[in-house]
Amino acid sequence: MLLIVILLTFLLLESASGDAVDAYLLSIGGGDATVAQSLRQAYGLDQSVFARLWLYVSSLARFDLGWSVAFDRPVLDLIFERLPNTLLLMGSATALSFGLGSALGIVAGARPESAGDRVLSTVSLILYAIPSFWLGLVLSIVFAVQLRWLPTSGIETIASGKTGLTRAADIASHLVLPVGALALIYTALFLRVMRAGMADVWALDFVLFARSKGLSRSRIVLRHVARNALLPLVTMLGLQSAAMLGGSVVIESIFAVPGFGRLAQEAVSGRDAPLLMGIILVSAVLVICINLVIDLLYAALDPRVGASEPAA
Amino acid sequence: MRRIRNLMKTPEGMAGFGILATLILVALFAPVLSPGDPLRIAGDPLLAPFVDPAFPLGTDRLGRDVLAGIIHGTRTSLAVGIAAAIAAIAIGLCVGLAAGFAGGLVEEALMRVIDAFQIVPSFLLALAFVSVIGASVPVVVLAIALGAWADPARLTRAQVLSIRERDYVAAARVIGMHPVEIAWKEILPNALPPVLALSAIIVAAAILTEAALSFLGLGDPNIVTWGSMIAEGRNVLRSSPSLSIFPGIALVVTVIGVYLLSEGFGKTLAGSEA
Repeated sequence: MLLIVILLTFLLLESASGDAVDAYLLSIGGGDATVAQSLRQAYGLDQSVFARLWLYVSSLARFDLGWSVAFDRPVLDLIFERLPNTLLLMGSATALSFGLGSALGIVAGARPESAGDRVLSTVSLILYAIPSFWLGLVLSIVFAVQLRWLPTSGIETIASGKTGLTRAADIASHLVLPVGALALIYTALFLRVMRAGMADVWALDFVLFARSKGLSRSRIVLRHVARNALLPLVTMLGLQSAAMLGGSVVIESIFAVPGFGRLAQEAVSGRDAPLLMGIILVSAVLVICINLVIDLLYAALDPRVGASEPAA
Repeated sequence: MRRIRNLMKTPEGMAGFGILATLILVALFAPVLSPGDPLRIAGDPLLAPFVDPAFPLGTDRLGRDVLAGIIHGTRTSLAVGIAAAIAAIAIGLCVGLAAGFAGGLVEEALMRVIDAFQIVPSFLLALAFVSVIGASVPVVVLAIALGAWADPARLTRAQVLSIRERDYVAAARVIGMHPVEIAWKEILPNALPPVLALSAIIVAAAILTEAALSFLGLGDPNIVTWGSMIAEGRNVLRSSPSLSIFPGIALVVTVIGVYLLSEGFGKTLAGSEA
């Protein structure tokens, strides 16, 4: 599977007109043909497609993602330098949207078709239709430009010399807007999935049974309905992880967060094929890892999955 | 026709249909509503909205009419969104049909390719694709379709797998129909409805992806799009935020229209099954 990703991205980048040497020469204001030739030789760009593909795959096997042309540094170093910021952004956005979305979903799904449910469903539909980059801009107009409550961009105040908790608070205040912009849309999504799931569970027999036992409504809602409706939500979490990673590209470029997504944009503008390939590969690996964790989580939540093992 | 009439009975369907019909009319009659090139300089730069009746939504940094941009941007958004969705569904149907019908090694190989496309963030893929090939409308359409075809392909295969075992397919085989003919005439029409139900979501996602791409400067520079208008307004965000806000509202309204329509469809489908 990963091999296919490697092959496809390699072929895609191979079909590009103009390579990194062209981009580099352009940025230094041109150069003669011999310089270009020696540069191509140094980066191995003068060899055939298959030779380079083989070279790439064999170096990948040694966890070597190659050399970034635009930054003149190893691709892996660059990615690992930027990844924590993005993981922080994505992690907080996921936690926020999952928590808020499922809580509101429980409120909406507790009484399907009630007034509260209708209001929440409508609001979530509108939120879900908002492009995250536009939401990010509007949020920064309101909270950073007009109200001046929060910083507009960056991940922390540059050269502030803050350490420990004050530094953490500084980073947190920089993250509020990007996380909010990324999370609101997913909150709406999770709300909708949770609500739909709960509406389905209400019709099942065990809910009727719980009601006939005389359990209180809140107990039925929380322990019987919501718990079962949570499962599709967890599935959705895994499915959306790839989309969220893509969404963070735009969000990071708006709020100038030095993360993974911004790196992708820089790779695009620098025509840095090794970097772009490395980014696509690492993001694919990331998505696989997230889904693995989700699968394990799923088995823990739903005893029917992996039932052959003795229940813990 | 009956489907559409049922659709109009649901409030969601009616609202969605109304919004989209209006937008399609605006897109079709854009040259009539606002004649001339929307990218031409029409007046003084940075006119505030709701001041000059000639420019109801004001002008941007170069003095281009914002309203004209939004009207013409409707064309791009709808055209790209719908074209990308059609392309994605067409690819997905073909691959899913081939995988489900061929079985064996072919199926295994095709499914791995689908897996590969699903684990790569589609926006990153589109970003890489457009930046490599160069920004023009067909490339953007293809780039979006490339990230969106995996879901319909998976769904089609699942449909084909269940339909393949039905009696009428066995009957078609018995009377000696060619496998390709069976796939085309017997299986495809029956596998189609659930895949088409997915189309609204794909259209909405495609519109949003197109806007995000052109926001990052990867749209066709010779065509006005809402995303590029938002990006252009971003340069003067502090002094005139309305430049970014109006095209964004147009975008939100369009996507809401698509979602409402798909909700309405979902309700009518659920209603006809019950």
